[in-house]
Amino acid sequence: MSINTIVEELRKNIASFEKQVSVEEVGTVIEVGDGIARLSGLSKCQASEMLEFPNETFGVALNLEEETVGAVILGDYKHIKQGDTVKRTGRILSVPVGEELIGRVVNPLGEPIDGGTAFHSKKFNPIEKIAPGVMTREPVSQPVQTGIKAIDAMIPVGRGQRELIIGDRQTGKTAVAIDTIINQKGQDMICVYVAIGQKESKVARIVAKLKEAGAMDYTVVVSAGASDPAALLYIAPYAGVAIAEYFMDQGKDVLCVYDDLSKQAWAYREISLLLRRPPGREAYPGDVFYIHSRLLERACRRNKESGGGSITALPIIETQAGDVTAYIPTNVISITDGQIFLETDLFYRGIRPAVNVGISVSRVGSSAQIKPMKKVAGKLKLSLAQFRELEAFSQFSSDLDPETKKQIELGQRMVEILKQPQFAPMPVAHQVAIIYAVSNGFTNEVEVVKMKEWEDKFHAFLDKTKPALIEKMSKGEWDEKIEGELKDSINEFKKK
Amino acid sequence: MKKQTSKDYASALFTATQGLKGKELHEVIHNFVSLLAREQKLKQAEKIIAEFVAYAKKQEGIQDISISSAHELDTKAINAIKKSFGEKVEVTQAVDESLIGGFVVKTQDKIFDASLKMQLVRLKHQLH
Repeated sequence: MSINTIVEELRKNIASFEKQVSVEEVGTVIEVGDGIARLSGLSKCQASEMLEFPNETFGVALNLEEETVGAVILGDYKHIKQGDTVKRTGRILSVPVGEELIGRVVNPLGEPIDGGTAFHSKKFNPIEKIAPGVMTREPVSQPVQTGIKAIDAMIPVGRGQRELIIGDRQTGKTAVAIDTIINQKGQDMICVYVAIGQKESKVARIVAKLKEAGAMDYTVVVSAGASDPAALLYIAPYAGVAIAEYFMDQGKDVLCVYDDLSKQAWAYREISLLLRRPPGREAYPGDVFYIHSRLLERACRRNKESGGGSITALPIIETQAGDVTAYIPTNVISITDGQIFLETDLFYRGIRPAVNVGISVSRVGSSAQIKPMKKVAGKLKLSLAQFRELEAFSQFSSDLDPETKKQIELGQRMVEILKQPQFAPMPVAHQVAIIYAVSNGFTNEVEVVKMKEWEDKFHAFLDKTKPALIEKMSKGEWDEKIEGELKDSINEFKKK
Repeated sequence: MKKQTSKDYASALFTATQGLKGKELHEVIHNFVSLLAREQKLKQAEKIIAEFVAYAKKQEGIQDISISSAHELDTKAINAIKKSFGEKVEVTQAVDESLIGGFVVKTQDKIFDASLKMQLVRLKHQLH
């Protein structure tokens, strides 16, 4: 642009600039501390309206009382003192949304924290929104492929489902979620990863891993770190789902991971106690169920008439010493459409991902499974259940009758193939092939410890010689002919 | 029973003293103070007085406004501003050079900003 055009542009802008008296409604700070401010005035203030404190610090009005307004301050509050003026903004708390957020790391207010350029988004979504109603929804029909054999086969997740990932610390909860995000490459999905109260180092590691796997091309990371004030931790998941809703409104399928909601509940408990709301069980306030139900209710599969699109929610809950009967775990279990249990015992026995398939369920996902997977998973489930019954006897292997022994060995092989390293999600056709081979006894002569090696070679063989078959199965085709082809391929591989 | 706030006391005092003069007024106030003493509210006396002033002004339609401007304003300008806020207006005035030009009027819960500083900030946003 030449100097002249700039000057011209400037002249035009200044000429169109009108003098105006701004009218602002203000209140004053009565007391401030612990990230909470009590304000007087602001008689027309709305619930969850943004308030502007000095130095461009924002807050949210949470308690509207007769005389005062209780607000949480989003950000640093050290410079706010008694008597400061607080302005109403007239805006309900909202986040910038748009395509430009993809590949970025933002805080719950939508400001970039990855060191990149700021975005001037024109569109804002309120972070609190009523979930889509009955008439706009439809049952889940398409799968979210997590790329994890144990989950895709036995605890399938559909697009628009809410599937809880629950387990103690260090059982690989985040790993399951990250693998799922990585596996969405080329699946026409947008992913939103919300990190709540995580160590910044962990978030940095995850972002680096996602970048390395090429997953940041379709992922937004919303992060409220462990050092951020409780108010930011509390609003983070709502900000995440508000960003997700923008993409859903474009008719896209979105995957939303909340890592983790127990920390959000802690943050909300902190805010509530500071606002002097009465504590209830485990000192959580009375509406702690509602904070999770209204968040997860926004996950949905919308029908075509309402614009289509879906939000799949993968909330994560951390339990203490495997206690799922604590307040928050039971709440979230009852809200979601199923749960994936991860157990410390399994983890240390080397079964990773440490999914306990016996007690994990998916209440709606099976209707979204592709046909070949549905066919092979039934047998796998049954044999594994039988194996669990017999597992206790496996120590006396010499005294067992051959039938039981065979059953136990089959179970052991299955457990072996369900093991999977981190960051290595597997395409669904390969999953079907290996599960079919094992559950139909094609691998009975392979030693259990050599299963892994056999599997790797088998997949390489399929990739090399049977790409047409793999292609058909990943499209969800399955009939006797394809089954026969698969059988022949396995036999052919075994001959080699 | 609901706890009484300072505002409750202030409004009660206002209603009780309305239209009273001389000895009667003295008596009511005396009774009010002994009520405060009995209820152990004397500590809040300052707050109640402040609430009373605010409440009484509101009831009688008197508005408190404060005008800050970059330069000392003459009485003509002040009267013009006063007029736009109605009949009963009490004004406090201050000079704030950081406004550069124009003035800012503050009422109970609103700010009317007609300063040059604000205009420049708006221009900056528009050019951005």
